[in-house]
Amino acid sequence: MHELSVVLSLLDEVGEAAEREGATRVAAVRLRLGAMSGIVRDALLFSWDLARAGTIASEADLVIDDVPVAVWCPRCDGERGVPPGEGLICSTCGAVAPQIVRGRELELVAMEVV
Amino acid sequence: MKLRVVEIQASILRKNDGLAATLRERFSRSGTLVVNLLSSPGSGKTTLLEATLRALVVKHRVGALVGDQATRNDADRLERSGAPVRQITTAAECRLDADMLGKALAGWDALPLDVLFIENVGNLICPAEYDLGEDLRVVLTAVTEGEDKPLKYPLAFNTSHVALITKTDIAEAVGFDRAASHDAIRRVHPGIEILEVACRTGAGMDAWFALLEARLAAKRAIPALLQAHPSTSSG
Repeated sequence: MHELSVVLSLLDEVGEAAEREGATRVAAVRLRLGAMSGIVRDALLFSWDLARAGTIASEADLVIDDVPVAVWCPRCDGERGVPPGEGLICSTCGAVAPQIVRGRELELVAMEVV
Repeated sequence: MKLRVVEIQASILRKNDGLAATLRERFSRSGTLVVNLLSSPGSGKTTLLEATLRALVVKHRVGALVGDQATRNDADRLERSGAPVRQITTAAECRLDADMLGKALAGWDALPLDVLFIENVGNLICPAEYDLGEDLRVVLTAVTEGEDKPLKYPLAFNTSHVALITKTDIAEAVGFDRAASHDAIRRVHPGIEILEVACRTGAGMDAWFALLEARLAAKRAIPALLQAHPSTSSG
């Protein structure tokens, strides 16, 4: 559970970007959240509501884009999903595919400013 | 009042990654092997570290940073090995990050070390996300835990270089399925090195110490190489 510290880092990034842009207010923040990021969506939203108070993003919505886990399957030679709870296994052919290509994202993608 | 969209694309962990890169450079210059120990609570990180510090302290300058949400118990236990130990009390935080590490290293008279062990907070989720500038990430799983731990927490095993199965002296008593355990680990990280140890009896510990010695020798060879060929060290 480090959602609150993630939100504080996010607010730092948002504040810096808003200053660079000469914004007076942030209306929305868009975040890409990987299923394997270790971050719980609801806890993140809860922390966001608490932590945004008093910042330039005090009324900003947090919009979350969920990113499912994808691995590179060496046998299929392509990106594939993984069946949950079975390891890093290609959902198509069952080969072990330890190279994670998506699903660890914790990224500030964009924001809407005034 | 005109709304406009600003594209950013920045990882929330980039500050940590930047700090970790700085630490890695620093450890590289001092030839310090850095080992980050990850596991659930109760897998035996402190016991492993106690035995490891005792074995290595006679030959090398070794030390440990211990992350714990509360209490100094682990640090006190480890100090009895004779090696310098610093406690990082993380309070509500569930993992160590590079900033905490940098602060704990500041003004520590035990530096420079040959080997620095970092005992992370007992947790298999959050610590996996945070680079600490380590050379070696070691994940522990005890025979008393479910063999499917790697399937539940794939990232910790996927990002580690070594998996240590601990408490093997009681494996039979708890009905540990060795093949299932190895299989689960390999299903998230086929190339990982797996060692089995029992700190109480010492079984398997020689292989663990040999692995550390080999890694330390490799780490020290890098600054030596750079010194021998100064032209390659520029930049």
